[in-house]
Amino acid sequence: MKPFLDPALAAPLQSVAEATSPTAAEAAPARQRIRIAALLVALVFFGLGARAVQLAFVGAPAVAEARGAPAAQGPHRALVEDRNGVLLIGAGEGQVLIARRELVWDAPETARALAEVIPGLDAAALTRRLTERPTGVVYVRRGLSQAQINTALDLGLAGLDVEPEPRRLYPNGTLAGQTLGYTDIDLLPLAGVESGMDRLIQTQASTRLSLDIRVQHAMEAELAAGATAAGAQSGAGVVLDGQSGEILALASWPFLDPNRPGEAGEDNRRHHAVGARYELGSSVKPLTFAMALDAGVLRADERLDTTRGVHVADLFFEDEPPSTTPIGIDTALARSSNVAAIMTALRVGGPLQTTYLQRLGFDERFEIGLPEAAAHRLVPPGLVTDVAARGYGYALLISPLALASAYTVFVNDGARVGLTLRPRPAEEAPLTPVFSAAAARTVTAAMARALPEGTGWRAAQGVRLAGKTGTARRQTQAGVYDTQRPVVSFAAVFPAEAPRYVMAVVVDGPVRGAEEGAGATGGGVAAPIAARTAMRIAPFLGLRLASTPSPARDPHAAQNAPEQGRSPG
Amino acid sequence: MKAPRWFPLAALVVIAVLAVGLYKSKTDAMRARDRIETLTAEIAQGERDVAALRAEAQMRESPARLEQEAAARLRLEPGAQARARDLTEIDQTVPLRPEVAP
Repeated sequence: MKPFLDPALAAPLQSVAEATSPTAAEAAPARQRIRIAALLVALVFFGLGARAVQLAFVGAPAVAEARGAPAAQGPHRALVEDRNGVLLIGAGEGQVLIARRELVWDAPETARALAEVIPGLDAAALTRRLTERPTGVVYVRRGLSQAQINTALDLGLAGLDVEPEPRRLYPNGTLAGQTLGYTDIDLLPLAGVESGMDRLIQTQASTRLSLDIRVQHAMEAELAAGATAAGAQSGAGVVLDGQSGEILALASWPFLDPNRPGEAGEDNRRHHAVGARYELGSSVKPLTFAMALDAGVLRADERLDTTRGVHVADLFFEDEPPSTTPIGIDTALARSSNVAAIMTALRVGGPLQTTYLQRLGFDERFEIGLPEAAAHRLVPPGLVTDVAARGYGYALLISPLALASAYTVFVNDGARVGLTLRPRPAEEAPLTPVFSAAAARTVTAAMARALPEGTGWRAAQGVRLAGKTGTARRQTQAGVYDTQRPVVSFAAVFPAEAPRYVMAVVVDGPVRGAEEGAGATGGGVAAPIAARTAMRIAPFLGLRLASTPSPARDPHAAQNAPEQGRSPG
Repeated sequence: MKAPRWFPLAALVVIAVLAVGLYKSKTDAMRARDRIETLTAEIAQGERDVAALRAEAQMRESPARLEQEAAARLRLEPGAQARARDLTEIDQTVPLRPEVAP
């Protein structure tokens, strides 16, 4: 092999190296420095190693715990409060039943035992999940009640445990259940405000509704009592601030407990107040008279000759009992004269009637943050009988909310206010002109005078109401009218002297009156419910009670007005 | 110019000090982050507890429950419609003082 260096050059180099090499004594300090450097490097590595051990065995669990916590919170959903800050939807923690695989002794036996106490649990599938890996957590079942979890834990099976999971709480139980709605176990919105205001609820810390829990409770309590006493199938109640358009109460009976939506029947889940549409009958008549007054085809002091009935196409209508003398608007409302309403509607005529009905919102879907709100459709009347029928509240499908919305014309001098489920000052409320102020005031005064003497006399005590009852036959799916179970209603503005609030009550399918001696009519079921509700909520709204029937006074006089400086909430 | 012989040692010491300083800073930062995360988790848990307590308080104060309790314990109930009176009638309808038995 050839040497790396030429031997001639290597010799001098070697002699130079020997001359410059340190002696042992000279090399000692250098070795010392190398040892120190090595020691420092070793210390550094020791420190790093110690920290690694600390992180691995001591520090890591704390970090994991802290990072694991937010996952248990679930998606953000705001608390929901009523107009006064009372909690309507809260947040809490539920429990989910889990099994830790490494601690489960006998997977098939565990699965079998759990399947016996948890309805619908598939034992074979749970066994597969428990045995597919040696360790880890298996979620046995979510959404179990506390009683079911306790029963499962009482089995004493090894490896069973519970973990917290976020859930929505509805602390007032069934109160405003259909309006508030509910979510699934993953907090995904399914109904009501939870669904309709989902974006708001996801982005705000807390969301306020226009509902007043006190008004809502009074409405629900009286609706349930009245509808139950009347043997009804369902019912709905609405209370509005007619000036601001804020919905103070929105009740549907039978009620829904959003804490347990899965246990509720179809009728409980249905929001009758906004989602059901009815032919409401005579409670529409005040609107018919207002149309005619506004259109100038009826004078406020005019008397209609209803004594001989009225012919419409090949049909003949007669009041029962027929009046013996011509009647004015007051008497027509007090007696709920179909003949007067038909004569008035025919004077208005189909096209103009349709225009008025559109302005009243009877072809709208109310965008108030509730997906259950029904879409109203208004078909132009094909026959003159349709025009006549609409005059007294048939051939027209209306939700209770739509009826209440239409009655806001009697609060705002003929203008209809847009509705909202969120708090809103009256100055910001959108108004749709429908009738002249004179027409609206005339009809309001007529309703106030007629109520104590007419079909709504049971609503004449307590708070002075200006309203109208309705008793309509219900059309069945077969297309015939059910004569046994009517749809009864009552809509009113109050206090009659200076209207500000609107109430509508609709009860479906009563078989008797809500009070002793009353019949299954608007006056016998819906009017007493409304009157009792008005009396209960009057203190919250700053209204005074009256013991005597409402006298015929100018409805816009300042007497008996809401006390100054007090809000409805 | 030749560097002094102690220079590498000094450089090594400086590097070691910097390394230790960096290590300490990083571990302090990590500890602080852990602490912040723990506190954040505690705050979130506290908020959840407050929300749960608020819900429980509202459940106890719900109008239906209050009405039930008022009826059961105080024998109070919502006023009947027929019992409504004007203030002008109060002296005629409500005895201002209970009648004393003779």
